[in-house]
Amino acid sequence: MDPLDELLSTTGRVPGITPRGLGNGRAALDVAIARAGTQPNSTMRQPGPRALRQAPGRWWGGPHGKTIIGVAGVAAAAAATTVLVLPPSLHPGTSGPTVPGAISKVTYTIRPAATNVTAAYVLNKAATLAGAQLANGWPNARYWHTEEQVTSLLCPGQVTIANDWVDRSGNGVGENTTTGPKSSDPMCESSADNGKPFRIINVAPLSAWIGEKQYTWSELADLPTDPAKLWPVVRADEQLPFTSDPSLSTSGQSHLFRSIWNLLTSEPVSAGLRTALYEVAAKIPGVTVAGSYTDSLGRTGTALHIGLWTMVVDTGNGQVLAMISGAPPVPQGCVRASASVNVRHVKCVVGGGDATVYISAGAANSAPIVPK
Amino acid sequence: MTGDSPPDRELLADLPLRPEVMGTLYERHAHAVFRYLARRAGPAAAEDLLSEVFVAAISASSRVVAHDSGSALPWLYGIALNVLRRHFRQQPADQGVARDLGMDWDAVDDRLDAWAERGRLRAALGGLSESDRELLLLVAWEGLTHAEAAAALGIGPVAARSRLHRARMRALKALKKLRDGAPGGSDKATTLQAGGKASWTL
Repeated sequence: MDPLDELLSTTGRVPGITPRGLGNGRAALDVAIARAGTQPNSTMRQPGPRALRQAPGRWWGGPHGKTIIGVAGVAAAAAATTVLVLPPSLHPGTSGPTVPGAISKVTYTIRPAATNVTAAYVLNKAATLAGAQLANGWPNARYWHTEEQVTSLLCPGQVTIANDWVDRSGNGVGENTTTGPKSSDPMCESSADNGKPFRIINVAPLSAWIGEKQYTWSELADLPTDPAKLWPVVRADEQLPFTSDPSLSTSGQSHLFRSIWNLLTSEPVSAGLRTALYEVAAKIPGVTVAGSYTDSLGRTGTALHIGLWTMVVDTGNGQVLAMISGAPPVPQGCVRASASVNVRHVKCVVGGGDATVYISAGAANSAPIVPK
Repeated sequence: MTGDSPPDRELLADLPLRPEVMGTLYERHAHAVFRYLARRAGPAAAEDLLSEVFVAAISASSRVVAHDSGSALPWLYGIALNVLRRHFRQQPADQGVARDLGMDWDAVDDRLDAWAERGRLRAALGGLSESDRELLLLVAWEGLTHAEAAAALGIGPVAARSRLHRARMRALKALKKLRDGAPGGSDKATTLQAGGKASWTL
């Protein structure tokens, strides 16, 4: 036995728990078990998936969602917008999506809530709970699979269910199924046809991004789990400066918050990193509580708002439930940008007003085979 | 584990729909989780925190998958670590002393019967990052395999093996320095202050 083993052996000796302590612990646990048994699957649903998806069709990775390889083009381009205007049907206090004739899996409502609770309190609470959600097994899995429902004001009536399988190198398979009315709008799925589902599956880069930096699984695993150490890393990656108005397109705090949300919703991050990400998010200035969220899966959460973004977290278990982006107004003289653009270089991109509901996330060892 | 009691793997699979099986896991693992907590926070705090670990585990049950070994302990230790971090974060910080979110050194010191031992332990572990130290202790104190410890910390087994090796080498080097009479005993700051408290830069 070397000196280290000897020292650790000596210092590892502790007394056992007292019978009273053991009984007290069991009593407290029994109360929690009884409570859990009366909550119909509220902690059992697994939201959580992929990163940034702006409309039916998606941002296939890219810093700030700048690289777009959408199945039918992508709208949004919130990164290039200047003014926050939440679209009426997605504004807190109303419901969405309720789409006749589409395969809407999830409907939700966000209602303004009178509360003294701060966003930082909500995020710190989520940090504690999310940190306990250790997903043992995923480090050995081949894929991280996520399922989301995406809707956009730009494509009224269309609903996309998006499944992604991202591998540890950052590539993966994406499968989108869109239903809803036929649309000739280049920003929408043109092959959807009045309730007849349109499915597309392809291979794409699906890596996580923080600002300008792309992360593989192993790089995510190496990120510090100490919030004090994580903060300068994500700030350096995000690059944009903090501004007095978080709704500005150049607002670093909005982009940083969204990057963090991307990781929390889309990536196989460890429990420690999830906790740290929430704690870092709690430090971002300008985040407010927007209201209370309920959806048709029986989930409830708290909606937080900053800049163009409204994010929903389940404060009962620290899971991310939804992300909703506001639709910016069309600048005078602008027309819609075409699909497959690099947002950074487009000045007149408009769109947005989309909502992503995270349905499930977890490890997977197989992914669909992409037809040749 | 008795023959008529389901193994951890089955209990964990049932847990999302049957939270009451957490009671069985408690009966099976409460002693081990208590020792984990007591080694890092002292027995008194450990008794208070024990139920928090299992209650948090209920909330986390929807994502749990048993480690390849089948044991629920790596998962429970991962949760316990987060409970400890929250506990330490809520403690009033000593002025001028960097807070350690993974260990209450005073509680550790209280159970060491020799001043020399506390100095050696701090010297050995003080130069490690919190995660490397936790990896080392999960293996040394809790008896996990490196793969189980990796699962508890949410890192890959290959990375864990290499980090464990690195941590051991650093700790041994610090002990050697201490034995050879070098002040501090570790690469990072270990400054004894008035009253015998140490300031740690982790």
